[in-house]
Amino acid sequence: MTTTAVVETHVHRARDRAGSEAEAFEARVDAYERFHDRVADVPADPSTADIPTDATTARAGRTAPATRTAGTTTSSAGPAGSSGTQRFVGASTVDRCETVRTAFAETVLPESVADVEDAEPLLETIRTELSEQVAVALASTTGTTFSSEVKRGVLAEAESRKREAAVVRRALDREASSLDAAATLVDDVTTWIEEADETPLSELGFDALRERHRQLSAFRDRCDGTVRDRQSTLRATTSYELEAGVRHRAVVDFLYVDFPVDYPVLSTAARLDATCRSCQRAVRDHLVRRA
Amino acid sequence: MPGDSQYLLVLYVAEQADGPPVSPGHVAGELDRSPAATTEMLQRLENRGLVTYEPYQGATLTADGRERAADLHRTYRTLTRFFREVLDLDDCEAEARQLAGTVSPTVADRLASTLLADDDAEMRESPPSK
Repeated sequence: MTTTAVVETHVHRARDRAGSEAEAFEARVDAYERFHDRVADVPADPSTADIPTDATTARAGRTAPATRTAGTTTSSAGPAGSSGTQRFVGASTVDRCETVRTAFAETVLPESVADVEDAEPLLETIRTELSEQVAVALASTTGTTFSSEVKRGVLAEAESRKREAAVVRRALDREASSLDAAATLVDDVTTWIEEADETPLSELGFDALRERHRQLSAFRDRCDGTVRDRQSTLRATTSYELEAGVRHRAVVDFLYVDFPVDYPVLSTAARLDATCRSCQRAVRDHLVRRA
Repeated sequence: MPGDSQYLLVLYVAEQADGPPVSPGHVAGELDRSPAATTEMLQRLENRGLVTYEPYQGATLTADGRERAADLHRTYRTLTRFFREVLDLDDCEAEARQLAGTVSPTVADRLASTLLADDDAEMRESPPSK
C-alpha cells in the first residue's frame, strides 16, 4: 500500500487558524450571552441617574476584526427579572456596579484579553469592549448609580458585541468552508502526483501518457475554479455583515496577518497550477516522442 | 538551447509577416521578456552568426539563422497541431514554441506523418459532430 506523505500548504495552516478563531469567537458569543444574563438579573437602582454625559464617547481601537465597528444603538434588554430583583433587594448601588464589574471579569474579560500579554485594568477592558460611557458609569470612583438607564446601556452594548461576534463567527464558518474546498483540491492533486511519480514517464505508452495529461488538465481546471470561487468568497458580504461592518476580506486580512502570504488559497492554487503545468510539460515531452 | 529557439522562431514568424528587421520590442513582447534580456539574447545570437543586430533598428536572421529557424518552425507547426487537436491545449502555440527547440526534426516528422495523419483519417471517417 502506498504511504501518502502529508503535504502542508498555506491552505492547511489557514484552516487551522480559521478553526481556532471560530472557536474563540464562539466563546466570545457565549461570554457575552452569560454576561448579558447576569446583568439582566441585577436590579436597577430605584433612584434615577443618567449615564455621565461628559464622558467622551470615543472608544479605544482594537486589532480584532470588525467586531468593534458595528453600531451599538440596538437594545433588546428588558427590565430585570423578579428573581434577580429579590436577590439584590437592599444592595447598595456600589454593590450593583461591582456585581456587574465582577460579572464582566468572569465572563467577557477572559475572552477579551486572552491575546494581550500584559494584564490591563478591568475598567480599561470595559471601556474598550462596552464604551467609555459604560466604563465611567460602572467605575467605583465616579459614584454613579446603577440606574435603569445605565443598565439598559450596559445590556445594549453587550447585545451589540454579542451580535458582532456572531457575525464574525459566521464569516469564519464561510472561510472554513472555502478553505476545506481548497484543501481537498490540494490533497487530491498531491496524492495523485505522488502515486503517479511511482511510475516513470519513460515506462508509459502513448495512451497512458495522454491520460496523465488529461488528468493534469482537469486538475488545472479545478485550480481555476478554486480561484474563481475564492475571489467570490472574498467579495462576499451578507446584509447582516454589512450591518455589523464586517467584510469577508477584512476577516481574511485579520486572520492571516502574520502569514508569509496575504492570500493563502490563491497563492496555493497558483502554486498547484504551476506544478501541474510543469508536470504536463514533462508528459508532453514524452508524448511527442511516443508517436 | 531552448531559449535561442524561441527567439529564432519569433524572428522567423515576424520576418515572414512584415519583413526584416524585427524590433527588439516586438520580440520582447512576444516572449514576455524584458527589453534588456531581449537585447542581450539578440547580441548572443549575433555572436553565433544567426542574426545581425542593429541597435534602434532591430534584428535580421542571417542565412544560417533562417535555415535553422525554418526547421524549428516546421517542428513548431507540427507541435502546435498536435497540442491543439490531440491534447486540446489552450495555450498550444506558446507551449509548442517552448518545446520546439528540444524536439528533433526526425521526431517531428514522425509525429506529423503518423499521429496527425491517423487523426486526420479518423476525422474524415467520423460523422460531423453536432
